[in-house]
Amino acid sequence: MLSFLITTINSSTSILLGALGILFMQLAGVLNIGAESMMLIGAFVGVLGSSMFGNVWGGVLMTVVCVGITGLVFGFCTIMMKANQVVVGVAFNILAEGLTTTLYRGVFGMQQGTLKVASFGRIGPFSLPVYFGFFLVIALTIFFYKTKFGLEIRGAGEYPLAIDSMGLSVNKIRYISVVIGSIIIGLGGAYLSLGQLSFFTEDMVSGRGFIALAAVIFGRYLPIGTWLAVLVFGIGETLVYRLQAINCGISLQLILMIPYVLTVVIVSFFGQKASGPQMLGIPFDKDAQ
Amino acid sequence: MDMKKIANSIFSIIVALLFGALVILAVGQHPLEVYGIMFTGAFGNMRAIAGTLVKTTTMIFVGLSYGFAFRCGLINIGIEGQLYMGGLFCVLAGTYIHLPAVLHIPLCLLAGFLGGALWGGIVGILRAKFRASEMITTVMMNYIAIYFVTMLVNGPLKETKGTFPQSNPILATAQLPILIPKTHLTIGFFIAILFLVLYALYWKHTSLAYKMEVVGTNMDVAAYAGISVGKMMMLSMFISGGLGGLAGCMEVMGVQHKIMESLSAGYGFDGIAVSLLGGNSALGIFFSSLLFGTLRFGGNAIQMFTSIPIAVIYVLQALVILMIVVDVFRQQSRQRS
Repeated sequence: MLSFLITTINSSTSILLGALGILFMQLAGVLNIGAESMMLIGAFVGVLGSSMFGNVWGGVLMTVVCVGITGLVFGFCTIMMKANQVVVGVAFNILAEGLTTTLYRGVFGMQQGTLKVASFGRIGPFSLPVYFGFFLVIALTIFFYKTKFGLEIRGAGEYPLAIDSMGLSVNKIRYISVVIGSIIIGLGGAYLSLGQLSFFTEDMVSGRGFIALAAVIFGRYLPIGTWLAVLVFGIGETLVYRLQAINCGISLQLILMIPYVLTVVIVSFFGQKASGPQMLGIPFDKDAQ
Repeated sequence: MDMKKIANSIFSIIVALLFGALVILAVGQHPLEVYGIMFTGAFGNMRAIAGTLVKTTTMIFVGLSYGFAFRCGLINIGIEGQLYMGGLFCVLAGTYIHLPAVLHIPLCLLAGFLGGALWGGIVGILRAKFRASEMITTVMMNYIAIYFVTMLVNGPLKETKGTFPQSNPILATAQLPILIPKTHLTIGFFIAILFLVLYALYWKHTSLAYKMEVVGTNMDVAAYAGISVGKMMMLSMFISGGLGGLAGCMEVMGVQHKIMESLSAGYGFDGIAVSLLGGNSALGIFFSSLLFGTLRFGGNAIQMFTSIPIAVIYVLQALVILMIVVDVFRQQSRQRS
């Protein structure tokens, strides 16, 4: 039972970080379908940095810088140029798949998945990013509900005109949120390649960015709610490992479907849009409102 | 499409190629040489042109699929899964039913359409009844469809020889007649053109299409005008999925003649780029399909003759999408006004 719980928490940390990052930028009003791309870039540059510096922290640094830049570009397209946020997100996902695959083969040659790099060691039952995930759930709860800036971010998503009339820049708040959120999402990707494993494989995120998005909705846009939602998904994923291991006669593919079916079911029953910020997905245009 | 839209599309393509050149440089290859290989790979001889048109055929269907849902205000990221389910139904009809070709081919197309439509329809129902975001559910349905097909071709549908995880070939009567010998160019290309025409007629002349466009423009207005928003969404996802299913049919009946795990190399996602670049109009989709057909088939040559993987095509595609939605021209004119 205890080992089941530990596996669940370990395997769900990448989705947790992804979801908390998504939550961060969505509370500010920017819809992120592109989380998948940010996780994939995080996973790739994490391995790249870890191999360049010979040190896992080099990978973390590289992730923060590169995914931060990715977030800036995402912000430019969606906040500044007011492009359709969903389509920008989809384009980012396609772009990241192409970029990481091409660059990975270009930099490391064809030996896919065999290149091992320095990764996170364990402290007690978990590795460091798992504790970071716990910390972030508490820190974000305090930040969003007890601090002035947290309130302003939620205001930018809920009622941007009020934020604007207070003399604050909605777009600036959204930019900051998108960059910070992206970095957290990217760290979730880096956890995949540097925490759970110690290498990169093409398309290794395989839908986790979308599952994280579903977890934010399921968790009612609350950090703690999101965490609980992620744990539900984590249990699903752990069941997958266990069922695979005990060779129960159910076909492997049927087992692998579980997290995806679970997501569809959860989004269907808890996916009412009403729970999200009012202005989610709508660019702020002072003159138009 | 007016001149400004065309200029914008060409501009998007050029910028995408320039950025792509940077990526090619970054992995230590010569961009002009790589693009040259791509171009000869796509148009170098008759067989290359035929190959490009085969990919164009698939591109047309995925483009129509995305465009159909998009005009009703829905984002269908699930074309990949719909393509697999279409391919699956098509294989079942093409293998287990015995008919003369003249009946068998339409029946397989219908089966493929229904397979994709079923997969899209589920999403439509969940969207209409539970307000489940189709952006998440469609992506999940992709994974489910691919695992489902993988399961079947490893089990009950596995070929009789039992060597590879793939189905038996469909009967000869279900295969599309070939236009140019020794290529995969079939009458599928004309079927795609026919669907482009049907698409154009549908959006121009039917009242159902008008209702869907109102839903796509503003859901509240549509509801106020007494249009059943949920019904329109379900129907539009159903048809969009069906068109995605037909893309699967083209791959099965024209190219592979069987189904396996790797039936599609991400063709479903090309639909987004095709449709956006083509401005969702039939003529626009035709030309952008031709472009992405070229990229896809020329991309094979890149993968074969250089160390760059075909994934570099995704970079070009994503940049085209970004350039179009960010729409530099529109922003400039807005600032001036």
